[in-house]
Amino acid sequence: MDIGHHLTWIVAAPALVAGVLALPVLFLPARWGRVAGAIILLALAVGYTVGFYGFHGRFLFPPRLSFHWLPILALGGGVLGGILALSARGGPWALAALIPLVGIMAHGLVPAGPGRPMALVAALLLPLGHGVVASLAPRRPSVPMLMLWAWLAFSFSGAALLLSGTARMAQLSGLIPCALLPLIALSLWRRGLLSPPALLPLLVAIHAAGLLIGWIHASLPAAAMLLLLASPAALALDRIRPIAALPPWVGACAVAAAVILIGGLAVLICLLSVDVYMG
Amino acid sequence: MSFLPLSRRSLALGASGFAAALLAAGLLLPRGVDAQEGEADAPAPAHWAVDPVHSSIVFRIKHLDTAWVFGRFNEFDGSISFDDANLADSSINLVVQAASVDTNNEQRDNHLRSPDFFTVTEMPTITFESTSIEPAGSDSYTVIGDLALLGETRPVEASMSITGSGANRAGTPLIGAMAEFTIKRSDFGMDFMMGGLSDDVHLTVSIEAQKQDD
Repeated sequence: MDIGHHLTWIVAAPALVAGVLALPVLFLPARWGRVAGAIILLALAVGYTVGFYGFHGRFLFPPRLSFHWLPILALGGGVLGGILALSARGGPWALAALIPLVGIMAHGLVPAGPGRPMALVAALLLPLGHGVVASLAPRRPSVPMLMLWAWLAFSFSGAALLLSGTARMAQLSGLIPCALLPLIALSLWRRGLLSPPALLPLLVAIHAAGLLIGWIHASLPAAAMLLLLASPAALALDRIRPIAALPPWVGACAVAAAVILIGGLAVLICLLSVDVYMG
Repeated sequence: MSFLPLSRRSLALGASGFAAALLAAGLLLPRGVDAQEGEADAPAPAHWAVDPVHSSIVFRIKHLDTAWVFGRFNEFDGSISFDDANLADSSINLVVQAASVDTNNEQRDNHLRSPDFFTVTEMPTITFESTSIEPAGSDSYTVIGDLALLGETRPVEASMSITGSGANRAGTPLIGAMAEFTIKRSDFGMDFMMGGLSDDVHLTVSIEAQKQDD
């Protein structure tokens, strides 16, 4: 295995590209906060895209296979998220913006054959449901909570995909968490840079697409996929009154515990139901 | 010439006799007839259907730059139009079911069917369509054609030899051929585990085909 290649393109390149592209926001005046939010989103999308194509060593365009659509979804999510950041609208707008993304994704994901109608409905409904859960359940997820969810959800999804027989999709699951790293650092440096509603289309589209590819084209069990798609519901935990009244770190722990529980259950389902090949 | 139904005597000659018959037919062409005119007058090539039961598509790939691992495709179909005297109108077409990949390890086969390799739910078939067949010696040919794999179509060049001819119990003429060629899987976008598995994949296609009634 070429570990160096993986570390370069899955870990270093997305973080470096996203970080460098987002760096100018530190020099923008405070009143340009929305523009800074849009730049952050585009930086995240471009970081993902560079990592994706670098990992494959070629420009996979126009897309022929499902996973070729992932950078297009990332760029689409980045542009839509950027628009949302500029307009400062909330969850419903994020959902509305998600619909064309889902349409594009379904077109690329659905295989020809007798299962096409069912797969098409699933491809349309599941990410939409994922979006609903992500944007409505936690009415105003905080940036740290959203980052926590993203890190844990993509990690568990990666593990589930690996166990389901697609190491490629598992490795690609690492792109978003790595691209997010410098952006989290920037947002700590200057608060308000990251807008959770604007981040949702990109995160949700990429997360759902990876899981759908694993379900349709590999051996990811439906139950595991549904659990992972439902994981953003955990973001609502720190809004529950008894937990919200406690210090923030308790809420963070509650969210983390819930995502770990959901993700762990999904991985356990994969371990029990998939004949794992590690050769 | 076409692969006309062979007499029992010529069948007994086996492959070398078949090749001699092909050569003799070439020599018996009227003197002074140039190749172009000959081709224009040549009858349409005979049609042959691949018999999957007596045919094999085998591949080998190197694991960790150490040892060859062999695999095969169990389900495929194809047709051949072949006339040694009219190669311009001859053709070879194969359709392979990617999901039938078999490396004698079910878990590995499932991995090969996944998006890491063949993505069989999206790209269920691998196809080969010849674009030209050129003579390359006695009973040997160079077959150039388009190989479509994972939605990418690339030209490949195979060395093919006629391995024999005969007839089945019903008297239907048979022909045997074997082709060997090498592809770079990365050319087709199959770029996963490049460090663990070689880029070069060597393929051997051994075909037995039955003559079809025109």
